[in-house]
Amino acid sequence: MTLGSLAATWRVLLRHCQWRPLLRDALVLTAAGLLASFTVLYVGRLSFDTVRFGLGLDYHSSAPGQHPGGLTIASSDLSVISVRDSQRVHQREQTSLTVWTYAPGDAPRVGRLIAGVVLDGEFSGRGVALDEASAHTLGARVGDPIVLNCDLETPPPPVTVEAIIAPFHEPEDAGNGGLVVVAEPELASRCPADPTSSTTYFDSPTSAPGATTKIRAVIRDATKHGVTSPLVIGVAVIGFGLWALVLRRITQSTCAMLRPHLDLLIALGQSPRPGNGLVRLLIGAMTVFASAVGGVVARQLCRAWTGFYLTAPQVLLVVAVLTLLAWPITSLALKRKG
Amino acid sequence: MIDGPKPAATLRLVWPLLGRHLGRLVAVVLLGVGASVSLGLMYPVERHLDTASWSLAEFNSTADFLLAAEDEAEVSASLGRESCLITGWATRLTRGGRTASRLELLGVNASCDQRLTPYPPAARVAFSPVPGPDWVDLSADAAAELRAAPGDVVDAFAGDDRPPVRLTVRGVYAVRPGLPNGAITSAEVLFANAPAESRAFFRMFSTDDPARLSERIDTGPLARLSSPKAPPLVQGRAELLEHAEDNSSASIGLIRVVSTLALVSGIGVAVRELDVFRRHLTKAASLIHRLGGDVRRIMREWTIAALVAACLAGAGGVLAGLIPYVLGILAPALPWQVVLAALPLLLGALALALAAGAISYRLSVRRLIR
Repeated sequence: MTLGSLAATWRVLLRHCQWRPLLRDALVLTAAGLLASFTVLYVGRLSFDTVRFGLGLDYHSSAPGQHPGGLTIASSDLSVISVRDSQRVHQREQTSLTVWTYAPGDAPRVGRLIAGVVLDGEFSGRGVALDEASAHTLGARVGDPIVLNCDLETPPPPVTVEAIIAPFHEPEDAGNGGLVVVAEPELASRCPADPTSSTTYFDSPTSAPGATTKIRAVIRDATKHGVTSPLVIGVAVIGFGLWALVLRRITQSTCAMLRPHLDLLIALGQSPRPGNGLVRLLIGAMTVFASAVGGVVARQLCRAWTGFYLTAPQVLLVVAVLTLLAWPITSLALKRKG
Repeated sequence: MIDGPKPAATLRLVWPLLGRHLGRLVAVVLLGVGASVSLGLMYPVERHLDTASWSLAEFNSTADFLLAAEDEAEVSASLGRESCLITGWATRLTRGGRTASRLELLGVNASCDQRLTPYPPAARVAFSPVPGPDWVDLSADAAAELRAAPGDVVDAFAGDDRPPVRLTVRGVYAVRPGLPNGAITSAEVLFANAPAESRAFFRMFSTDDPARLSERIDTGPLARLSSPKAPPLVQGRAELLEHAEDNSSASIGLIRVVSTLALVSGIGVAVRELDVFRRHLTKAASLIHRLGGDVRRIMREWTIAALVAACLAGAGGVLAGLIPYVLGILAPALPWQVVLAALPLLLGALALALAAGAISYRLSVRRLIR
């Protein structure tokens, strides 16, 4: 079969497509896929953010503790962080952020380390880097002042948000996580507390005790998050079940719509493969549309009613998962139709 | 002209063309509505459980204080019948190897009308009278943890140095008044099994509004008899209900998302199948029309058949969707108030389906005859 005859076959078949039923089916697939989209967003949220953050950091390997020859970042928890009144938002608070502190003089190296996860602004060490979820909760943008509130009687002087970075989660955190990157002296003058742990990042392979490569560290951290529960599993089964049922039905009705014309073409000597290919293309386009819209709707509802911060790129995850799952379902439906 | 005198003849005639599609319609509507109802009810049920203690109870205000048990008679006399004095334990209940931990076991004084407590009869889902004071009413969560029903015996932990208190389950209530698990019994049985120095009432529920209750407390014996370490603190039911509603919204936001998306998904699936059947029916009617048959009759009878089948499938789906609640899988209880509130929605959906069917019939016939 040549490209020309394939194009001609598709032109003939597309001319006989009834677009109103196809549009209706796309909308129904969107509605039917909402639960499945939500499941992908909710279950994949933490791992997605962890992989995105981990891969975005610029280093080769890391090791727990303090080691010579690398960049050491100390980690601790901050109980409350609040933003002052600004023209856009009133004062809000968030609890349980992770704080990364670095030694004075290491600011350029820290800037290189987190350059890949900076979403807005530029980190030079004069201010702090704040993760996207925390910035959203606080209503903070680049250039805004925020207060590292450590339960002192008098709130300490504010620090300026220099950069917004990708969302960050500790392995045991199931909420929105949070991270602020600040120089050690700045934090010590405001919230004197000992760090709970430290990690040293190296630009080349190292034999430091407990060292691991970046890829291994990302996979390890991404798999530590556990968000499944009987409810989530039940919702996933029902959600994906409904979506698969509708997808199968839509594939069957699309085949039935094109069947008389394809039979005629086959009788004239054409191969049935172009017909199947067109059905796959139409179903694939509908799936991409439905999963994108469903992902956006599910994301908005989650953010409005649950407070979970879901990033826009996570909708791409929904599209990828549902489109991949659509392939075997469509193939099975086409095989049964013949 | 194909004109069978009876509807059954027409249905039988077209059955080979449409029977399979009708069967598919019934199956998909049943599945879609069942999934929709089972997940869609989760939010209203959980919301009801979180707030029923305050929305269904008949008290208007509550006061927290510390009052020795021996002073109960004098205070009750001053407050009248429309009040309940409450004591309680933070404890756990056990039954047959199962434990309902983090449980608040309230004890009510003898003259208490239970309508005034966070376990009002309106929230009752199961009940069997128990003679004597050794009864206990469980919250639905506690009953689900213990797999207990009215008539079963549970043990209340009374301390490391005391034997457990045996209580007979009298009722199960669809409420969630405080701690994860809750129960209510008589103050008499709690005091009989507690050290003398810890026998005290700490709360009151009253039909008085907060201002009137404050006045009664200030001018009555409670001001004199209550511990100075815990001066009476009065709150209104509206305030408590608002607090419960805020907490509920914060904690079950995820369930609200799931319920909403499930309803939209299920409805979308059912509507599509009805439309697909309509297209098949129109095709079959068009064939009959070209052969000289009575297209109006075919369309009318098969539209009615499809709507009846869809409604029956929908009803079956609703019943199937309720099963996880009756079995206690998706929620510890199914409050009848939630089912009653959902009825107008179901009837509305039915009316909408019938209206859509009538419009579809008229439009299809007009198109075919043209």
